[in-house]
Amino acid sequence: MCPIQKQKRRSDMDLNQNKVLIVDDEKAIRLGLFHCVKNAGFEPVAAADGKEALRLIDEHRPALVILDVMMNGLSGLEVCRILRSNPKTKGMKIVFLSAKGQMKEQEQGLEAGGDYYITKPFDYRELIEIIKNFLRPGDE
Amino acid sequence: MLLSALKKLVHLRLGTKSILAVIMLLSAISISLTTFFVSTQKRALTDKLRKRALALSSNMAFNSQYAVLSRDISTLQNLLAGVKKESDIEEAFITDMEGVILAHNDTSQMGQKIEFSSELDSLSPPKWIPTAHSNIWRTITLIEIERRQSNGDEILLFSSPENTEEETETTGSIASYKQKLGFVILDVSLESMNRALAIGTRRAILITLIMIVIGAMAVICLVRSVAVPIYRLADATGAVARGDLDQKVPIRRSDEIGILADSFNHMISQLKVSREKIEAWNRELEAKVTERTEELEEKHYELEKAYEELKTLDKAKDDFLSLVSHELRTPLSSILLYSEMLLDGIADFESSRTEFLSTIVDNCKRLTRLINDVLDLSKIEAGRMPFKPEKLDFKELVAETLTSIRPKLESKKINFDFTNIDGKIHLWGDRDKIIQVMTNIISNAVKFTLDEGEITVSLTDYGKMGKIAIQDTGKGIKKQDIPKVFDRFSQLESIDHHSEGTGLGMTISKSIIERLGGEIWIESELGRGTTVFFTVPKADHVSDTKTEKAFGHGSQSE
Repeated sequence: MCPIQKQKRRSDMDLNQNKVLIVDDEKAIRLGLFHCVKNAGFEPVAAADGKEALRLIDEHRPALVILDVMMNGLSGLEVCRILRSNPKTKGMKIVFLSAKGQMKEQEQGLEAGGDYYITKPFDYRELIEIIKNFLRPGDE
Repeated sequence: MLLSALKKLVHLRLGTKSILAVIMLLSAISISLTTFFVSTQKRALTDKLRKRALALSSNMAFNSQYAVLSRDISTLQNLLAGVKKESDIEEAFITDMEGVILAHNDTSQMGQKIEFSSELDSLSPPKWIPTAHSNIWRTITLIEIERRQSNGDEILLFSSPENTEEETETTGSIASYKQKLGFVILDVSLESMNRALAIGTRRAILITLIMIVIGAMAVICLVRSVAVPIYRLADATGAVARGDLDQKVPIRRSDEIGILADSFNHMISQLKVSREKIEAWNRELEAKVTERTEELEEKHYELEKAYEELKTLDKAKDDFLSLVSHELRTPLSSILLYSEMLLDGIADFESSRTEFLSTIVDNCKRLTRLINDVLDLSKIEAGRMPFKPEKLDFKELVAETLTSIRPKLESKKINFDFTNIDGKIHLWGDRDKIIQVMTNIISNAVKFTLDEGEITVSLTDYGKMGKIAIQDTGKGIKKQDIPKVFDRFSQLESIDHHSEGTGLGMTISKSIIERLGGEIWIESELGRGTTVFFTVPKADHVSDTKTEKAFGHGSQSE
């Protein structure tokens, strides 16, 4: 659960620094996180699968994506790779949120280009802290 | 040289040694005997010749007394001629005391003088002496006449030389003396005697040689008759020592050698029997060892197989555990998330608080279902799930199933048709389990069927089984995805396990149907709908005992 402190990249100007995309096929998680993110002062957007996520990223240009790993269709890892291979979305922060919590799986997530990996069940406050750290580094 | 010859002798075979020893002994005895007999013979013959010659010369001396006295040469010559006729007489002559030859068988030598040695004076009895010629011996006999002077007359007494002395002694009173007249000399040749002796000796040697040869042959025969069997025994023993037990010494005799050979043969045959026994034991042992080795190899193979199976099972268990943990984490995440949100007061309205709480409750229920399903599945797969088979009326089963599903059917306005049921068919199985399967399948069908769609349940004859078909007009399943439907926690789009399902329903259904002795399969066409089929034994084809067996542990296990 230790944060992987990657060198902070200069946020791309065209990414919306206030927007957070939540991708999870579990409706309850999606809605709950929506509430939490919104409560923390960000603009949440939610997607139920990878395809929808890519569509919404194109539309909203969020600066951070909370990405579930195990999803039907495109998996979280695949979505991450697609984002990292595209120069327009390369600078996006990606936080994995997965029920698969073994070391091997965490490593896979970080190798795919994830900035952080959180294992379910999780403390939503920690997630919010991480989002704040990534998007508003100077705030505290 | 000698030493090496001796060594050779030492190394000769036993038979040859014996033969040589006996021949040498035989030769020594024969030669010494022959030598003894030849020398005895020679002495006897010589003695005989001497006696004859002496007798002859004595006779001559007596007969020639007067002729010598009277120098009657012609009488002497006659006497000599008579003597000369005797065999072996080489020369015969008469001399006077001075050695002048008075008469000689060879008249040309008459008047010659021969020299006597001085010892001739004491020439009584007559002498037998060797001459210069080795083959000729000489007898010299004194010719003497006794003169007696009685009353002044001189009387001549003729006496043999032998008793002259006696006469002299007994008639001592009478004055008498002996007048020496001369000598009779006979030269006797030993040639014929030697010739006879040589012939005898030759014969003796010949006989000796024949004896040696015969003796040697006899010895050889004897020794060979002993040695040859011993050689054979020795060879056979050697062969046996080298391990060849197919030896038989072909000697048929009643003596010790025969006994030895018989014993040897018996011993070898015993040895052979023993060896064959040992070899048989060895073979048996080897066979046993091979058998054991094979058994061990087989066991080893079985163990390896079992190990591989266990490894596979262990892997499956690990995978399952990993899946289960994932499936448990998901509802737990929701529960945790919403609980904390409530605690933090994120739900600002009463309505959202209620929503949050119901989400928590839903996820708790889901967690419970999941746990129950996992336990059910593991029980069924381990054969520990109790089955209570009974005769079932299918229409009742459907009706019972519908009670839990009806609200959903109604909300989606789905037309549910189960008129297509053959009322004559009665099924044989566990009521609750079949309802569980039906509920699961119909729930899925309801989920995937659009509003105002149709679900049809039918029961038809299928040999010894009853075939149940649950058909929907849902979106259908991709052909390649159909087998995955029965996988645990399958990640198919078509199976939505977010709300109701646990992802184990179809897996459990399959296990139950298979435990009941039936089959389950799916036919589907994308966009048209899906039909799930399963078979259950018919009641009239299953006797109670059989079913008990088919359901394994049955009611008695729990």
